[in-house]
Amino acid sequence: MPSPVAQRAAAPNSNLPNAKAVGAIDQPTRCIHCGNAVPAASAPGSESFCCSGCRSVYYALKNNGLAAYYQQAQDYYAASPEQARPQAQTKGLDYAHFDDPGFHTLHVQSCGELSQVELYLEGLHCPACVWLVEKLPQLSAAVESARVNFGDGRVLITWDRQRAALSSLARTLDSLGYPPHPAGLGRSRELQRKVDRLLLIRIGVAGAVFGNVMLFSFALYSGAAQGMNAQTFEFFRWASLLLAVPSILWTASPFFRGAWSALKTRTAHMDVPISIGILVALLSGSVATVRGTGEIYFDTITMLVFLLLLGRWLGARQQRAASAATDLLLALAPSTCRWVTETGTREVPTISVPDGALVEILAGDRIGIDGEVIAGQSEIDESWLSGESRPLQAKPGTAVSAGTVNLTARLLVRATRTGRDTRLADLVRQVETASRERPPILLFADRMSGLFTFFVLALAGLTLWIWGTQAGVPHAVALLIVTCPCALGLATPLAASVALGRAARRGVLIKGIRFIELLAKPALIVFDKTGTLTLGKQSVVDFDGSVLTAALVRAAERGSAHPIAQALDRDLPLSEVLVASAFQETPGGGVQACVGSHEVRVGSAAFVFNTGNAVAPPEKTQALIARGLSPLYVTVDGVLAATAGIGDALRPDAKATLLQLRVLGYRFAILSGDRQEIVDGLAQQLGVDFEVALGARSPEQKLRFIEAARTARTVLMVGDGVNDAAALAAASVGIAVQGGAEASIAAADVFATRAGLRPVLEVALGARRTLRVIRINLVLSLAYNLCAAALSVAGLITPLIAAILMPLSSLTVLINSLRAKTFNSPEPTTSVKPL
Amino acid sequence: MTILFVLVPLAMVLTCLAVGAFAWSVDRGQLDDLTTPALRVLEEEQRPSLNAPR
Repeated sequence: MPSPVAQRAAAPNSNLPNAKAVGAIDQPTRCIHCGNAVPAASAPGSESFCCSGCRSVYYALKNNGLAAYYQQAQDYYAASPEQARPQAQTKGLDYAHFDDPGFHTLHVQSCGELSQVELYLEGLHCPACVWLVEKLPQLSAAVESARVNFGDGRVLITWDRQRAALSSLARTLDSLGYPPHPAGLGRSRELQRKVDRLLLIRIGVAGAVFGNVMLFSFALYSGAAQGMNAQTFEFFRWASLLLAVPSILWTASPFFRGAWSALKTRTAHMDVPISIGILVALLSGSVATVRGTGEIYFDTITMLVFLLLLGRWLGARQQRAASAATDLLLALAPSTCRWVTETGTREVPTISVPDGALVEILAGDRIGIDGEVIAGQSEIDESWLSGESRPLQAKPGTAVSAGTVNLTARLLVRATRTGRDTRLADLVRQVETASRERPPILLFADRMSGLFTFFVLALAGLTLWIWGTQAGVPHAVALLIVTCPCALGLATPLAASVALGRAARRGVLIKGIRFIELLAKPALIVFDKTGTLTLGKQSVVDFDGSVLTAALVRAAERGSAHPIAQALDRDLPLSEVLVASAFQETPGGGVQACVGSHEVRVGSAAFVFNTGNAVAPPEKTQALIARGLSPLYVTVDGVLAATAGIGDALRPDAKATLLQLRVLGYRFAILSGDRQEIVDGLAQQLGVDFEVALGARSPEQKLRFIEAARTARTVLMVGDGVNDAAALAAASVGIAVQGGAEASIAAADVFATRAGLRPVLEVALGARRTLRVIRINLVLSLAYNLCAAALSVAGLITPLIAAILMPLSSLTVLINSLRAKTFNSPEPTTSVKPL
Repeated sequence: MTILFVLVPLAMVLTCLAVGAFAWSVDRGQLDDLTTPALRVLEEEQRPSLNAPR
């Protein structure tokens, strides 16, 4: 079976009578905006676009003098060739609800005389986008500033309400290709922001204290050799104490609190041994300073607190805002509906439409309520709900759902469920619940800390027993301090942070370090079908005609903009360019044209075979339908020349990727909204063993499957559509593939910006390598601790040795984390790395 | 060496000022987003646009 990849053929075929071989080989044109290939039917000329979104953005940029965007984008994508370039998204909505007073109460703050609003933007993919959005003041005089936060995908706009309405700014952003959404209710984000800032301030204080106490120690160590003036000696010890004790009690309080709750709930956590070490050091150091004799360890302990806080910050930094998923889902429903009453038709907010009301839905409108069709006949795009790319035929009696799009004709619908009762609202609740109810993930280091604490305390007891209470106390104290697990606490955050940064440069965004351990172990991977395992669009999966026939078909189809024409242009073998005349397209049937002296007809059986003697080949037709493909016939001068199978093709890298994942120990399942026969056919095609391959699954059924599976083992979900969002949120780790709906990207824990299934394999491999690095880190840090413990029990430890051993262990862990190649680039990039 | 009794507290005061300045910048949100400023560096200098008609 030929794969849907175009091949370049040889020289022009001059056997064809009267064929005008134009000489050039069909080259795909590139969209000026996004660089993707353009179907041949678009108007030829110097400017070609792959879609209306790209076209409108291009002109918006050009007319506002912002064409420098293209140079920046080009530089960025030249430096990272593996990143997929997305098409421009424009929704073309009017965003009238952004001017609603209720909206303003929730989302807009005042900032002096101006107003401020934070919006989440779809489509922020590269630095050029940051540049473009921040140029908003140039596009609208009312805007004072627009600051983008690339990590969260949000923009903070400060503008003058008197001079421009928020909806007009929203429309401008949309026309540039960045549809805006309200950035969530903000309260939890505000709290999170406060917590993050407090952590940074603690790090700053800890660092300042660490530096100064270390300087005092320098003085004390220098004096230790030759003897020191008693006054100076006392001075520096007291200075260390006065500086260290209050600040450590404050900066290290997160660890104390963590240890306290771990003890209360009898769970194991690294904070317990850390807190023990810190408190013992502070107490013994204070006692020693007051008494004037004995060792102080303030320098070691301040350094330890600083490094541990830094590690905690590094680990937290990689988390990305997970809140947007439900807002994006809600954005699927339109804000207004056309309510039909005896007095006439009014446009009202969707939430005020009562049950049983009659709603008019025009062609192109999104449906706002769940209902039943009363009058009209149309096609409805239900892809987010069912995963099927084929539209639903709607006629009186058909049930429709909120959030779907009415494609062709006007419909009159009676509302059955509105507002919070629609299926869409249900889905939003499910995503919320799924992400909230996910059990917290404990790192391996935390799990073993219980054992660790036990051993340390046992060793301390042993030391006291060996040396007796009098001489043993300083040794036991030293033991508790030097075994404080600084490097152990850094082992996971360091390795994971570095790995996540590298993964991001490879175009795989992982939202937290806690997922690494889950991704590395063999698990059940549940795949969505449409758009994940398959390309998600119509392609030519099967074609049994000659290269010549292909050339004729392409010539005939060049005049059509139909998706099937695009598929034919994309997937048929390339050869000479022929010119067609007398082009005629019959909607729902096919095309016919004269190429040279031949009459070519391409289309469905009814269209193609109604003239001439040829008939559709029965076995071939049956075979194609059995595989879930739609047959397409080609006749040349009335004679059947080729039969093509049109359907959703498997991704070219799917089979190889699955085989490799299988070798690593993963198990597979497919959950799809499409028909069961198609899913079975696909499973067979892939040739890999699937534990479960289910079709006709609704979003709710997918969610239930994931939740049930998750109780027994780790479940990874790979999906792209809105109908996967709840499942992605519920899985142990949710992976959204490139091209996915924004809602699924927001609900997932890992997001691949490169096309294909290969990123899933890279994530698995990268996670395994990272886990190996983490394990080596843990072993190294434990080795240091063992060494230090042995020295303390033997009574050989001094504050100087402690002050050297601790940073050495942390340094070793750091070097090991940095040098490991966890996520590799296949070829080194020499220019500036953008992220 | 008694000068140390003056210098060390003085240095502590300076340290407090430095930490205070750091805390002030954190509170003002200057350190909230550390990834986007790195991206802005990649932009070409577009100074002439300041004079362009709005």
